[in-house]
Amino acid sequence: MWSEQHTLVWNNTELLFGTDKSLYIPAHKTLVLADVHLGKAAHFRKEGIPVPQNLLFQNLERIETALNQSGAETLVFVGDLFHSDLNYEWTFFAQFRSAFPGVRFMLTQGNHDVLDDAQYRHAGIERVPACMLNEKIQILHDMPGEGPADVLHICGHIHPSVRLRGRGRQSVTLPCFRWRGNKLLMPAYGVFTGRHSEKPQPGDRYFVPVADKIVFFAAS
Amino acid sequence: MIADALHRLFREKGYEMFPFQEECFAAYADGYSGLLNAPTGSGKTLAVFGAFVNDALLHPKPADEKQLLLLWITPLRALAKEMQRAMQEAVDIMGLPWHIALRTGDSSSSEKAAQFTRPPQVLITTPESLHVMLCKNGYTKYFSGLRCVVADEWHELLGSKRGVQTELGLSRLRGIVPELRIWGISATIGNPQAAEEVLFGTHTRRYKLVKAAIAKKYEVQSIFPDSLDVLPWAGHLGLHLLQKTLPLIYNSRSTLIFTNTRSQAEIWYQRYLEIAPDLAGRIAMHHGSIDADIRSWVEEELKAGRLKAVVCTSSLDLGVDFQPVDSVIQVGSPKGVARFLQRAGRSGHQPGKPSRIYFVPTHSLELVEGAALRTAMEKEYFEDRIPLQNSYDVLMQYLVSLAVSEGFEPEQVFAEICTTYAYATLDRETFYELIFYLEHGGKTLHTYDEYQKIVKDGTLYRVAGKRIALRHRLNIGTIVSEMSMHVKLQNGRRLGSIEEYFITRMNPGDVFWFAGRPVELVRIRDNEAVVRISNRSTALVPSWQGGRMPLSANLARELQLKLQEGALRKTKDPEVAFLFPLFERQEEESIIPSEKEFLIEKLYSKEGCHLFMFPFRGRFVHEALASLLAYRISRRLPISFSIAMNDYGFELLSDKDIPIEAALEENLLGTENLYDDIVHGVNAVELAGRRFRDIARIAGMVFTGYPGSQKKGRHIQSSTRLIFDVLNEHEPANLLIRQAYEEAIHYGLEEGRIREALEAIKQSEVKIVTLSRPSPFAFPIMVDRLREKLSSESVEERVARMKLDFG
Repeated sequence: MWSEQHTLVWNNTELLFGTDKSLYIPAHKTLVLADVHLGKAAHFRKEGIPVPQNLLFQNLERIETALNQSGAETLVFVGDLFHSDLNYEWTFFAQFRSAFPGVRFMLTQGNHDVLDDAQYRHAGIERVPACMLNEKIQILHDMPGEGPADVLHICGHIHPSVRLRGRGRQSVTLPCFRWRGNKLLMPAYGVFTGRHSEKPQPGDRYFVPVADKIVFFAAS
Repeated sequence: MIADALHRLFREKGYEMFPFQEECFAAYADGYSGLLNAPTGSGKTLAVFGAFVNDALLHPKPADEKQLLLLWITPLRALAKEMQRAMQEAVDIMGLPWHIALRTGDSSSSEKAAQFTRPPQVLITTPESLHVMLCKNGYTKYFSGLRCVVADEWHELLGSKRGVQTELGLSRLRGIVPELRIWGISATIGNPQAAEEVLFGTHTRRYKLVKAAIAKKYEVQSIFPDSLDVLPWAGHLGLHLLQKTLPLIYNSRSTLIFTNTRSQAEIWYQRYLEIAPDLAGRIAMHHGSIDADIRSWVEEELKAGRLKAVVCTSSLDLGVDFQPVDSVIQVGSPKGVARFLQRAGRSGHQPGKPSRIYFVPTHSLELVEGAALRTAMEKEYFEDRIPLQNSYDVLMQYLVSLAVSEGFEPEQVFAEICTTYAYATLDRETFYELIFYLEHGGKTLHTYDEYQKIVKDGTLYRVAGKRIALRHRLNIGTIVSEMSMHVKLQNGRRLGSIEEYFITRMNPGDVFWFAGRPVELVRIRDNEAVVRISNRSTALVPSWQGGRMPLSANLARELQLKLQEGALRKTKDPEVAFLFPLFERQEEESIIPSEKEFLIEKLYSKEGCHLFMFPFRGRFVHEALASLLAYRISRRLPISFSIAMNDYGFELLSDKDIPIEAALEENLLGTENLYDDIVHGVNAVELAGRRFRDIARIAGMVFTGYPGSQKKGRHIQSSTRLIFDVLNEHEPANLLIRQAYEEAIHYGLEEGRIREALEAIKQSEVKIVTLSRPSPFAFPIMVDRLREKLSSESVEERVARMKLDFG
């Protein structure tokens, strides 16, 4: 699940990239997921667009697998845990969460996280503006500015993907982790999320989950 | 029997009454429906409109002035306006107190409201607008006095989803008025039988076929290069020949220059201005991505005779006649005989004067197509239009429309749609599966689900609320592709649209060529690219992903016959004669295959082993065939291929030797298991995904937002690609997903043509020739930059060998 071949080491802390698009930091026993967008499928269905109902359960299964395989004691959602207004998917999620009493669930506030404080409290989710993993690593949903250069900022919101070109016309766009300077952008974890690709800039490094591997690209 | 008033109309307008028009008048008076086969500008509108009016004049009824009597369906908004004006003038001359109205997507809401409360006698509309009318409560009463429906430009509607929409609309109107007359007007197509079957369905047996015996003369002339390139490098000849078209432009009043792609139109336009600066201000460009206002302006200028030349694409294939246009230039193969004929017909409107069209090949071998086109036109050898069947998306949209207005009763609708060609083979089970899907949005997993679209209300299905109804009405007839962005100047003036893919590769400050001039990207905001006019001379030319038309079956067949003449060195066509040295070289290196032979050329180079095959079936079929064969060969041994193709043939290239003889013996070109092998060989997922874009939009799977209420829309807004991916993975049996694959394989890849190609090859003698150097046939394929790599390695290995795309 988490590749040992390509990792990111920041100030002696090692970050492992997961083929399921999660990030695991063993030193802090912390699992990080970005932009899950639970509730999106239910939201679409309410508006008369028949996307499959079981997308929620697909998401929950993947989170469960990640938690079990990593043995994480903290799970941080990097924003946009829930897609919009309250719907029944939240109830299922809260139920799911209660099956992991030994794991601390945290959420760094994202633009889609608009539920009442009470909902998060009841579900046992700590909602915070940002989360300092250690002195030099911070997790927050979106940071448009630069931030201190010696601190690594782990962000979501963008749903990054990268365009790859093979010989001739073959091309593919895949969700990815993008490391640029002191910012690590995470791919959207949710099963029903869109993606956004930008032109690579010199110095960008990409960690791309492909089937069972993490493939690494560097933009020179 | 012809009414006096009709005679008066012909007299006052100075029209000649043609025999085919009289035939229509008589047929209508005798109670028939009908299908008229007539070319543009022949008086076809008058033939059918006159037939209807004649009948009303001879048998007037008092209720006539209070209700809608005739519905005229046309695919073209631009043409409709002219038609309305002409028809109104006609009834005024005839002294009929009739009102002719127009209803399209451009009509204002006040116009539409007025049409409903005070019905016109004749309503000209589009298929989409007809469906919007079916969404209105009270439509049954509104159409209850209808006597006749005309489907104009029927050949254009045939083979498209708008044609299916028309069929459904007709079935409902026939449900309201069982004795409804149906008349169609169509240009010549390869399969006229289909035109009949699809128009009349299984309902109307009483119809007449009328053919206008107009002999229009066409002259096809090819432009020759100064010298012959025996190794024809595709694409590099065109601009060289552009110089030779200048005298034609100067010597004509107005010239239309047709190119096959929008990019090519932009390139040629640029080039004309470069080498003939005196044309500036008298030359314009016209294509589908240019804003409608600018296009209208070009059309007006052209009509007024103020433009010397217009570089255009298929955007000017249809529409009003431009009197000043007396010559037409076609750059590159038009890919089809009907299209070529259509374009030729855009010139030469003086009576007795032939329509002249010049053909500019983009590589030397393409000259043969000039000859093939000439002969095909003489033989009236036109393409088939393949009608669509079982388009679930269009049916879903239709059912919801009925649910919005007055509700529908399933058995009644099923009985009606069974009379259409499009749904004649739809089984009851699938029909109810569709209704179930609309009602529940799939199998319900739990009771919390809030999906709703239609609900059962007694024996009827109705829409589940006003919001759903509003959204449905907004979504019908939205034509803009979601993958494109608007291009605007800073002052808000719209220039047109451009594909998102191209714009997202650019940075502010980049300059690109658009709508005939260089523009600099200022910023991208939401779905808009804001630009300013630049005076930089070097600029990128955008590419639009559409426009890769394949060679039609008819033209391909004709082409092969021309090659035979080349082989025999016996021809009447100057193009073929000019190419004799090329044919000689082909015979030196290889052979020119006869009709009973199938040529496979093998060549070893430092790149590896090349295998060329020449089915002459068009690039899409070749792409599929190449992928199919590559897949079949690679199933036996670990080998990876790169494939390339053009309209004449395809190439498989590998770094290993390709054991073609052995593969042939193992039924490489057989038709067993064809469908499955195609699905595995080509990137079926990618193709189906592309099809799904339209399917999802039509079926109402995508919400494009309420006007003015952006915030809510953004929650819902999602690309169809995402929905496809999610359904493809989690609900592969979904009806719309199945439709996407069906369309991709059957209609997109033309599975029928692939099968036919393989069967033809089975009847031929396979000739394998080993080349010592590239042959003239093989060369253009070899150097084609559009290559695709196929291999049997895993997706991780494949991705690992890719590179970052910097755009």
